[in-house]
Amino acid sequence: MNALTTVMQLLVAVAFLSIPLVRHRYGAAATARAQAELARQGVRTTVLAENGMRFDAGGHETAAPAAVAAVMAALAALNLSGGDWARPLTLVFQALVLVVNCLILYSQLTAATSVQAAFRRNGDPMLARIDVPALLKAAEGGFPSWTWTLQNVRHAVVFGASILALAAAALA
Amino acid sequence: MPVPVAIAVTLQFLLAAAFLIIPITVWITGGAAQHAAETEVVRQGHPAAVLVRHGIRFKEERWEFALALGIAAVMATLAWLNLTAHRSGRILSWIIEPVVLLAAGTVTAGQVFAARYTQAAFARSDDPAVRDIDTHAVIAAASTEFPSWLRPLVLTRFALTTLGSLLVIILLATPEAGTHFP
Repeated sequence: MNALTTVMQLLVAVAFLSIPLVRHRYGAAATARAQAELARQGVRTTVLAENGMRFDAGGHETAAPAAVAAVMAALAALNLSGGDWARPLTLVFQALVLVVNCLILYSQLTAATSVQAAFRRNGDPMLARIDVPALLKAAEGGFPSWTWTLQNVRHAVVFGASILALAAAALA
Repeated sequence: MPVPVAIAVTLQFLLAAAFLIIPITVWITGGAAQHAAETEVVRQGHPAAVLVRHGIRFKEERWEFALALGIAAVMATLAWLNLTAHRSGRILSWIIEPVVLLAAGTVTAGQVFAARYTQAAFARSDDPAVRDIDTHAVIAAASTEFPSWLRPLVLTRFALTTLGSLLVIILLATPEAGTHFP
């Protein structure tokens, strides 16, 4: 049982690291495409930086998933060594990872509307005019086509492996 | 029953009680508080609708009321399972308590820091007139309609949700608690 849990937790750790790695490699290209699209729409290209919108691996886009991966790796080690705290901590953190991943999925599905809302709240009429779906589509074009598949595999791994690890720890 | 389990069960019952008493109180008095806040906003020369437009409400929506009662029911169930030494009590507590800590902790923090939150919402407004609203007067007007013990209870619930949940997780993991569960 502990071996299964350990493998599941390592899978979740790798899944969380995958997106920052892709953003690190292709983020600059995506940002360039997004800025080109803004220029095409006649908007100053600095609005991305002004509103904290980024497509690269900077800031919390790396720190947050790396922290999750570190916690998962620590749990995997704990499960392997079979300490008393392995079971409660596995239940606690796997439940949290499940909830966090639901939030990530929700924010990905509502990205266009939330960016639009942020631009509108800003009060600058130039920002309210931006065609956000076109902007996001342009940025997406900077990433390789398999990124979409990776995204789905990542979600499947995180949800599937977390549920399996939870079940293994609960039934142990 | 081992002392750590007794403390954990008490914390869970207290949180359940807080999630029962606060929503019912706000359900009864929230309308009057909302009305008082709107009257104060109008007195300051703004339309009453600025509150709703900036997401500031003292009245509860029906789903918020139902959600709070649902949390109360879940916490009471967990407490009962732990009290009766049911095997699933400890496992479900470890799964649910961290989620309550994060989710309910965030929501209840919004109530603890209501004045600051309201101030920030008005400060961000694109309408310069709204930025001048005296937020403290608005909050004070609304507060007069709530019972005086509501504020201390809101602070207590925040503590039970955050520190209390963390404590329950740790207490149930102690070796003494292990002897209580089959």
